[in-house]
This record gives sequence, structure tokens and C-alpha cells, in this order.
Amino acid sequence: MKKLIYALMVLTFILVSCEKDDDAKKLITQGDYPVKEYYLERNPSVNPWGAGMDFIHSECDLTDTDLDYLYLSPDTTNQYDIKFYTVKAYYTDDKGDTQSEGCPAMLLGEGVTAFKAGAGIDFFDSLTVVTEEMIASLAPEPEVDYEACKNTDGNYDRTLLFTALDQCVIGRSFRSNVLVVPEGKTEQQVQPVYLVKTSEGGYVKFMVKQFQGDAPKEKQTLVRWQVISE
Amino acid sequence: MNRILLLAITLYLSVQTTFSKNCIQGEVTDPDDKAVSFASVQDVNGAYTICDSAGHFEICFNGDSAKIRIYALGFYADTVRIRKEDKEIRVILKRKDTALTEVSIVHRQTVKSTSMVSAISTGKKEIEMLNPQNIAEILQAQTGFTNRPGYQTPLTLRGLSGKRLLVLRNGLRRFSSYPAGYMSHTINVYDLERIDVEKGAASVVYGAGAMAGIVNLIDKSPFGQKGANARLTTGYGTINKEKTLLAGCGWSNGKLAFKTNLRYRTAENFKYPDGSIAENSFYTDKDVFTAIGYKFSEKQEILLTTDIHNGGPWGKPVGFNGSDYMRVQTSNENSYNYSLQYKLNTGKVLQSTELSTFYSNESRTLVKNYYTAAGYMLSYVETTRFSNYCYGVQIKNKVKISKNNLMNVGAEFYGFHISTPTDAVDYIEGISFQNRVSQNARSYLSGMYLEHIFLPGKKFKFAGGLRYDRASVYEGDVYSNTQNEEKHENKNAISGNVAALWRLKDSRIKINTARSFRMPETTELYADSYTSNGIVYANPELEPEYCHSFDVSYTYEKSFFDAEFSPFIWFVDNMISREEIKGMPGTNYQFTNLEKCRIWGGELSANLWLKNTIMGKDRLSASIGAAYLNGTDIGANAGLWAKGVPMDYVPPFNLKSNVVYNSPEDKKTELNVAIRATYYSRQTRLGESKYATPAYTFIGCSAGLSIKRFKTRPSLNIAVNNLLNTEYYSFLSYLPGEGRDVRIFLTIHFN
Repeated sequence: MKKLIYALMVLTFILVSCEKDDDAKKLITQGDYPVKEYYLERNPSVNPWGAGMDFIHSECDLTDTDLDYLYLSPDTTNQYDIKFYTVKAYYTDDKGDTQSEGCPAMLLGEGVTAFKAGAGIDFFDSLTVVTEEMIASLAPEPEVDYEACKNTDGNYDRTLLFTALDQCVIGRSFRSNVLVVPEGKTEQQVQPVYLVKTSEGGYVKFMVKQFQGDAPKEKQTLVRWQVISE
Repeated sequence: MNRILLLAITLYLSVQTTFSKNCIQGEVTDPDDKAVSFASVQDVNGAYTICDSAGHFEICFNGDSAKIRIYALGFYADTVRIRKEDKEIRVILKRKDTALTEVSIVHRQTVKSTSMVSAISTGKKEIEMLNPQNIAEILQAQTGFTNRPGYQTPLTLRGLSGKRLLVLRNGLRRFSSYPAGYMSHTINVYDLERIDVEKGAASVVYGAGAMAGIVNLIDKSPFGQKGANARLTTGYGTINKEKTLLAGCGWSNGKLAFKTNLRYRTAENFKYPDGSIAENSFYTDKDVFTAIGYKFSEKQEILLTTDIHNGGPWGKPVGFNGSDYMRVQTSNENSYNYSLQYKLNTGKVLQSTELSTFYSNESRTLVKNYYTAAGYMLSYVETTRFSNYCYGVQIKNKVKISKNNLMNVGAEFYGFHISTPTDAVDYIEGISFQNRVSQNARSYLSGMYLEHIFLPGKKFKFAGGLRYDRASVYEGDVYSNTQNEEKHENKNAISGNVAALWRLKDSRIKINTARSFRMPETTELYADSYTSNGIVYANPELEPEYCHSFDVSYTYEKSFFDAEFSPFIWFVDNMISREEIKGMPGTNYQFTNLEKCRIWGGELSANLWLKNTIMGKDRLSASIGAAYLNGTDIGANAGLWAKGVPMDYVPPFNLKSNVVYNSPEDKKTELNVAIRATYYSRQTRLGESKYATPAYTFIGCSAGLSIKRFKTRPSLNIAVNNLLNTEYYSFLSYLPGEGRDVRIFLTIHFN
């Protein structure tokens, strides 16, 4: 009898141990959430303070698109997961004229982590589970000190600015003059796809589908995301 | 039933009377068998034609026989009876031995008969029937031109516009500071007597820019009417509450002549077909045109013209380039154009000479206001002050070497200067700055040409020409730290053409093969242009653009019907285009040479006119025309027929039709009614923009009534555009066209 009890205890212990093991490897699978696509203004004269994307927000249902993104102003206090912000960098050209150059970037919000999970729209669609390895790869955004990227005349230094933005998780990786599109491929097939963990703890997949929209949306950037779990 | 029978009989009889015309060809010579050029040939019933330079003519008459009268300067007039069975006649005019009583040649040769390519001419009557806003609106009704509505819009022929389509006024080129080339909104369309268009290369005679063809805006001669005359027109357009006032007066005693025309108009924002307002689409402008002429004799005259335009403020509709956060306005736009032309027609070895000189001065201020997407606050203002002036001189001579050989010889020189300083205020960053961009950037072009015309008989005409041009282009004042001297380029261009014309019994075949060109202009080489659609950066490496073209025109003509088929294929080397620059705020471009492009297509048009349909001497005409164009960028090393990449800005297949009824002109009340339809297919071959405007059909109509029984000859003309209020998008437009617009013009005369 004692042996039987002992055997049952061992078996129970094994089963309990196994159960704990299963918990540790548990996958987060995608719920029933819509794919969302929006064109965002890129021109810094139109979108000077950035457009904040809030993937999961308490104010409204996820299917309601009204507050999925918001063009920010200096007074805006809304939380966002990713900010699409174009730095307007003035410089003096060879002729002595003042010119400006735009440097668009995607910046993670406070408490948000992300990592590049893959590339291309097919990968985006196939990404339906979040693994431990993915979670382990999530990284927060380093703070970008824009003031430190300026030179003595107060204008941005391209090299410093690019270096700072390239430290970011997404940064300017989606730009048409950064992204390399191999022969025979389209931009959509190579644009990086990011897994984002929101400040609320939800998981979202995100990509820039088209850096420069087709006419007449050349001055806008098309973004795409889908919530995996809240 | 009786009515149907009556109508059928009427139609049958009218067709019978119309179709029973006979045509005859002839030649007019002097007793020494030398051709009498440009003799007038008139049927006693009013049919009229004029001989060509070789003395050939063709005239049609009703019935079995007719009398025609032939007269020419320096010859006794002659009357000849012709019968139905006569197909060709020869008329020998006796030369006047005594002092000549000069005979005015009141009719001109039309561009259709003189041009070696497909040509069209739009007369004053057709112009006024449309109550048009600008020249583009008139030409868009013609096959081969592209429909692009709006206050300020380029003329586009066979897909090419601006600097590849030369716009002339009375034979003198017009210049523009617009990167897209000449915009016709600065000309009062109601000044014009007619618009002549030659489709196809004409660089030999007209020089740089005459690649797709030429558009020659012809003013009514101040000598046209003896005594004093005046007219006043008021107009109203419903779609934008456009108010137009036109006034004109003139005086001539046959030797001295004067005329002046004024236009004032103002319009509010127009409405789209759905009733919404196109914000920022208002306009206002004023024009004054003056011509003073003196005729030394019937052979020589001098003409001084002044054409002043004062426009603005006017705007582009919000969203026209895809952005809802930008408003573009031209706060003021002025142009002053002066020309002096001397014409001599001797009819001798040096048949004619035309010496012209001109000066133009233009300025405009383009203001771009950007607004933030958050809160719609003014964030950035960019103000560009364009100013340019140009001047030039040209001489054109026609020389008769022998009976069968003519020579056109000429030379041209012009200079063009432009400055484009820009101010900017960035309200977000809190900075403002001034850029000189370009200051006195300029180009000088001189060219000379020689064209030989050989007329071996009345059936053939051959032409061959050669032209050399040299352009010197200067960057303008230099203010860079890295550069001490202004950049300077010299460009040379040789163009030429060989053409043939073959007259058959009822038809005509024209073949023209040519090498035409356009020089890169100072705005493309050195002067960055701040446009409403972003900055277009200059490129000092640009090369001249050449077009090797092959144009054919087959015309079939009967007295009641004509049809024309005009296919063409052009290969353009170094086509100057714009490529987008990545990474800058907004969308910016730089000029670049496309290595080789292939453009082919053609127009097919037909016109039918019936006389005596409802009442005697009235006229019912119907016309239809189709145009197709295919443009491909085939790259540098590919074959001429390589698949390539579709070019942008190639308009889709389109079809235009027009039915017009004119009551007899000699009645005391004249009525004109017209209905027209335009169809554009969807663009299937998409260029880099990948933007396809959907197919659409657009219908318009007009009706005009002129009452001549009153001394003031009042006339009322109503033109309706977009009759069915259809929502349509014209070629490459992001915004719908205007909704239904009823334009009413009332005119009275004082003479």
C-alpha cells in the first residue's frame, strides 16, 4: 500500500512537473482581430510633431478605427505605441541657399518593446503565434537625443542623426533610400515586419507596407498592423 | 406618318442637292506659261478658293455648269464657263501692261492646305460658340488634344505639352516661367481670329520646341474692317459665378488701323458635380490687347501690338496634387508683350519678307501655404517671385527661284532671362530665410534655316529643310562659397526634314520625316523651380532633346465629306523628364534625360456637312475624331521595338464628336446650335505614377442667336459644359472636373 501511495505521489509529482513545463512553452496565438492599414502624412510641414499609433486602447473597441492613430500636437497627451515622426533638417546647399531634408522614422513609445520578426507581407500574414524566443527578443527603444544630433549652427548633422536613428528598433529601416529591394522583388515583399509588445502588454505585428503611396498619396506612408493578443 | 414622309423627302432632296456637286481642278498661268501664284477663283454662286504657289486650284460647284471668275494682282480678271464633264482646266491670265490697280487678296491660304503635316484651323465662330474660359478649352475639342480642364492648364497635343509644343502668337513664340511650359490662361481668347495647329515636327521653320507641333494664335487684323466699330460682351458662368466683360473697338481707313480689346473677369470657387465646393479655385484677371497698323501699300504693312495681362489672385483647387493640407495661390501675375512686325509681299522673286521683333516681361508670385494635420494650423509658407523677360528678332523670306522651285529662308535670335527668389517662413521651427535660387539665369538662342520646296507638277510637292541652332545657357549670378564663376554651357542642334505631298483626285497624302529638337532651358539646367507640386531641381548635365519623327497624313475630300487619317511614330532621344528625389520633405524632382523613348499613335477624323437641310443655304455638319497614343521608355541599349516601360503622361484613347447646325448667314436672324460629346477610356498602360483615371463621357452643347435686323446686332450665346453633371476625372487629375456649367454671353455691336 505504501509503495502504491509512494508511486502515486511520484506520478503526481511528475505530472505536475510536466504541467509546469508546458506552461513555460505556451504559445500566444492570434485572436480574431482585423488587419488595419492607414496612410500617414510624411511631410514634416503637415505632420510636424508626429503621428501616434495606439494599437490597443481602452477608449474604444478595437474595430473602431477613430483613435487608432492621431496626429500629435505639442499639447497632446495621448499615449501611443509607435510614433511616425519626420525630422525636418535644415542645411545650407552648395549655392548658399537654405534647404531642408526630411528624415522619417518610427519610434517606439514609452514602455513599448519590439523586434524585427521577419520581412514581407506574406510573413506578416503568417505570423499568428508568439513564441518565447520572440518575447525574449523584444527590446525597448533607446532614447534619441535630437539636440545631440545638431551641429554648432543649430542644424541637424546628417551623420549624427542617422546614427542615432539607426540605434532604434525600427528607426528609418523602412525608408526607400535605406531598404534594399532585390531585383524581382517588390517593396511589400521585403519591408521588415516587427512584433510589438504594447505598454498594455498586448502583442501586435506591424509593418510599413509602402513608404511612398501611389499617386495621389505620394506624400503619405502606408502602415499595416494586426493585434495578436490584447 | 405624313411628317415622317415629308422629312424623308426633305432629307432626300437636301442630300441630292448637296451630293450633286461637281469639282474641277485647274491651273492658272500667264501667257508665258509661268504659274500665277495665289490667284483668286470664285464661282458666281459664292464658292471660293485660292490657288497655291504653283497656280493650282480645285473648286466645286452645284449643277451641270458654272461660271468661275479668276483674278490676280497684276492680271486682267477672266471668267470661264465650266461644265460637268470638265475635270481639268487651264486658265491663262493676260498681264496688265499699264500701271497696276492693286487687287487685294482677301482670302488666305489655310494652314491645312500649306502644311506638310496634318493641320487644323479653328475659326472665330467655333471659338465663340464655346464661350471658352481659355485656349485649352477650345483645342481640347479637337482630335489629338487632351482634355485637361481648369483655369490654368497646359496645351497637350499628342501627349506632349509645354516645351515640346511651340505656342506662337501671330507667328512669334511665347515664353513662360512655368516648368510645364506655356500656359494659355494669360491670353484673352476672344481677341483671336483663329487658331492654327500643325501636328508634327516643324523645327526647321519654327525652331526649338516645335516637336509635337505648333499652335499659332492669330489675331484679327486691324485692317479687317473699314471705319469705326465696337462691341461689348457680358458673360456669366453658373458653376463659379464667373462674370466676364469684354469690350473691343477699332478703326481703319484702309491705310491706318487701330484696334483694342479688353477683358475683365472674376470667378468664385467652382462646384464639383456632387455640389461640393472646390476650395481655392477662384480667379480674377484683366487683359488689354492693342494693335496699330499702317499699310504703306497693298504690298507692305507694319503692325505694332501690345498685349498686357494682369491676373491674380487665383488658386489651384485644394487637393489638386493629392494633399489636403496645402493651398497654392498666385497672388499676382503680370505679363507685358510687345511686338513689331513688318510684312512685304512683292510677288516677285522675293515673294515675301516678314521681319519681326518682340519683347516680353512677365512676373508672378506663387504662394504655398502648408497646414498641420493636427489642428489645421499654418505651419509653413513659401513665396516664390518669378520674373522673366525675353526679347528676340526673326526674319522669314519666301523666294521664288523658278516656276517649280521655292525657297524659305530665315533666321531667329532670342534671349530669355529668369529670376526666382524664394522666401520661406517655418512657423514650427520658428525660422525664416530667403533663397535666391536663381538670379538672371539666362539663355540665348540663335538659329537659321533653309527650306527648299519643289513643285514638279500640280500633283506633287516636295520639301526639304535644314536648320542649325546654337544656344548659350548661363547659370546667372553666382553666390556660392564653392564657386567663383557662373556655369555656362553651349549647346548646338541640327534639325531637318524631308516631306512630300501627293495630290490624287479626291485625296491627298502627306509624308513628313523630320529631326526636331528642344534645347534644355535655363530653368532646367540651372534654376531650381519651386512649383505647386514640390521643388524641381535643375540639372546642368542635361543634353538637348531630339525627336526623329515619321508623320503621315491621308486626307480624302469630297464637297460634302472629308476624312483624315494621320498616324505617326516618333523616337525621342534624351527626352527631358523629371525623376523623383527620395528622402526630401514632400515630393521633389530633378530634371533628367530619358535615353530613348518611342511614341506612336494617330488620329482618325471625319467630317460630313449637308447644306439646305431645313432652309436654303443652311448647314448641318457632323464630325467625329479618335486619337490613340502609346508611349514607351525603351532605355539606351534596347532596340527600337523593345518592350520597355510605359511612359507617364500618355493620355488614353479618346473619341470626340460634334454636331453643328448653322442657319443661313445672310438672313436677318442667325441661329447656331451644337452638341458635342467626348469619351476618354481608362488608361491601361500605366507609367511610373501608376495612376489611372477612370473612363468617362462628357457632353456639352451650345446655342447662339444673332439678330441682325437691329443696328446693334445683338447676339446671345449659351454654352453648357458637362450637360449631364457627370462626375469625371480628366487625365491624371486627382480631383473631379467641374459640374454642369452654363455660360451665357450677350454681345452688342456699335457700328
